[in-house]
Amino acid sequence: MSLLSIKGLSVSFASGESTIHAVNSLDLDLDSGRSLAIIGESGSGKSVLASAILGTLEENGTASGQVLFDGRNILGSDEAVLMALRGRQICLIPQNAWSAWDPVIRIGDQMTEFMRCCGVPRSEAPNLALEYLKKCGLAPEVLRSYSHRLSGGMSQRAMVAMCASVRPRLLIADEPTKGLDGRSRTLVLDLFEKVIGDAALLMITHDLRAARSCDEVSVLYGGRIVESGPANEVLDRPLHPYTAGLCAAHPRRGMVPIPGGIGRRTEIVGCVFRDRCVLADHECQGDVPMFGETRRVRCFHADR
Amino acid sequence: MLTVEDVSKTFRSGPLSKGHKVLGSVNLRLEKGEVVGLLGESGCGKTTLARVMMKLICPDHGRVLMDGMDITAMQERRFREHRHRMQMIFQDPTSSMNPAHSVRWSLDEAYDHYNRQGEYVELMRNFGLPMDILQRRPAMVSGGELQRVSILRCLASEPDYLILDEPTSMLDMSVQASIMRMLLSIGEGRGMMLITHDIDLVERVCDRVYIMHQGNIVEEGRTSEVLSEPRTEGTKALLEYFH
Repeated sequence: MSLLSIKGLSVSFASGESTIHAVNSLDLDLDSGRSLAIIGESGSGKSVLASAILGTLEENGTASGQVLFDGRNILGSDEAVLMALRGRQICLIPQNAWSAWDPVIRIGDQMTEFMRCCGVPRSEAPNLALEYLKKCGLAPEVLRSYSHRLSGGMSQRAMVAMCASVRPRLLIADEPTKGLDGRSRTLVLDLFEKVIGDAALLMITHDLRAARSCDEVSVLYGGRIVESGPANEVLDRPLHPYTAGLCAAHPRRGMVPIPGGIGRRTEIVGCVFRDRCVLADHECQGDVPMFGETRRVRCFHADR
Repeated sequence: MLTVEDVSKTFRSGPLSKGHKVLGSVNLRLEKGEVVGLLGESGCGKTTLARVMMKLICPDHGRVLMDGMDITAMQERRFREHRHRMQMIFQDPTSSMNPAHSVRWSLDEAYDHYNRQGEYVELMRNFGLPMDILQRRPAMVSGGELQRVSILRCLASEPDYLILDEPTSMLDMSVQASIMRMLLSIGEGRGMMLITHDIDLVERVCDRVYIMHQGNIVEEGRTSEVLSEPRTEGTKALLEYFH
C-alpha cells in the first residue's frame, strides 16, 4: 500500500458567480522512500494540491475525492486529526523560507519550539537541532542568528533541517529551489537525498533540473496530471505536447515559449490543454483518458 | 558606451564598523547593441554593481562613465537630464509598481512624463498583453504579465542602456522564454546587461559575459569561450555546481 494515495481529488474555488476548478479528478500514488516531482506552470494547481493534502485550503475552496495517508482518508478530517498529522507525519517546506521564519526569534529557538510541538522531549531538542544543522552543512552559529542574517540558500537549508529533524513520513517541498543560485540549489537538492531516508518526498517545482533529481515526475496542467513517469524519461522524451512545450522553453532547448496563457478554468470538459495545443482537433473536445502503464500520458495525439 | 572604472564599495553598519567589502575593484564596459551577462553566486556583489552603475548608490572609489561623461561625480540635479537614458528591471515586478493604483496609472505616469501619451497600447498589442489588465491593480495581474508591463514602463524613456537584475528568476520556464524573447526584440541599438545566476540563459542570449566572484570580476570574454574553457577557480566552481 502506498504511503500517500490520492484518488479522484477535485478542488474548486467559488469566485463571485463562477466556480474555478483548480484540481480536477487527480490520481496520484507515492511510496515511502520515493520522490515525486509535480511540475507545471504557475496557476496549474500545484500549490492547491499541497494545501488539499494538508487540509489548509482557503475558506472559499471545496475539495472532493480521497486523500489516503497510510490507508486512512484524511480529506475533510477534523482539525484535531490533521493537527496530529501536520509536522509529525506530513511536513511542508514552504515556498519562501525567508519569509516563513519569524524575524524576531532566533533560528535555534524556532527549531526547538517546532520539535517540542512535534513531541521531541525538551532535553533532546537542542542537540537534535544541532545535529540536523550539521547534516545540512550549516555552522552551529546559525542557531543563534536571526533569519535576516542568513542568505536565501542558508535559510532554505535551515528550513529543511528543521522539517527533517522530526523525521516526518511525508515531506512536501513547495518550490524549494526558487530564486537560489546554482550552488545553493545543488546543496538543497543533495540534502533531500541525504536527510530523506525512508520518508517520501513530494516536490512541487517548475525547475526542470530540480525535477530531474526526483525518481518520478508528474506534469500538472489545468489541475490534471497530463503525463507521468520516471523523471529522466519524461524530461528527455516528453510525450504530451505540454511537457514538450515546457522542455522547449528551456534556454538550452530553444527557449520557445508555449503560446497563450494558462487562464482560469471554469469548465472541465475535454482536454485541458487544447486551447494552447497545436495538435488539437475535434477529438480533444471530449474526455481524454490516461494511456499507458509506467509512462502515462493523457493525450490522443501523443506519439506513444 | 557605459564604462565602469575601478569601482569599489564597502558597506558599513556604523562609524566604528570594519565594514563589509562588497566590490573590490571592478572594471566593466557595456556597449550599445550588445547583451552582456553578469554571472555570479548570490551575494557576490552583482546587484550592488548594478546600483552603482545606475547612480543609485555612490562607490567609495572609481567612477562610471556614460559615453565618456563621468556620472559618478556629476551632481544629482545635472544628472537628472541624463537619467532617462538608463533603466533597470528588477527581479520582483510587483515591487516596481505602485500597489494602490492600476496598471494603467503606472504606465500613464511614465509615458505622460515623456509626452508619449498612450503609446504603450501599441506596444502591448505587439507583445500580446491583454488590454483588460490595464484596469487591474498589480496584485491582480500574473507575475509574467506584470514583468512585461514593467519592461514597457521602462521603454517610456527610450533608454540607451538597460540593466536587467534577474528579470526571470521568479517566473516559470515558459514565461521566462517569452520575456527573454521580448527583451531581445527591444534590445536593438541598446546596451543590455543581464544579471543572473542561470548559466543556460547566459549561454543562450549573451554576447559577452563577466564572471563575478566575491566582489571582483574574475573572468570576462566571449560567452562561448568563457563557459567552455573557464580559466579561474571561481568560474570553474560556478560551472561545476550548475552541471
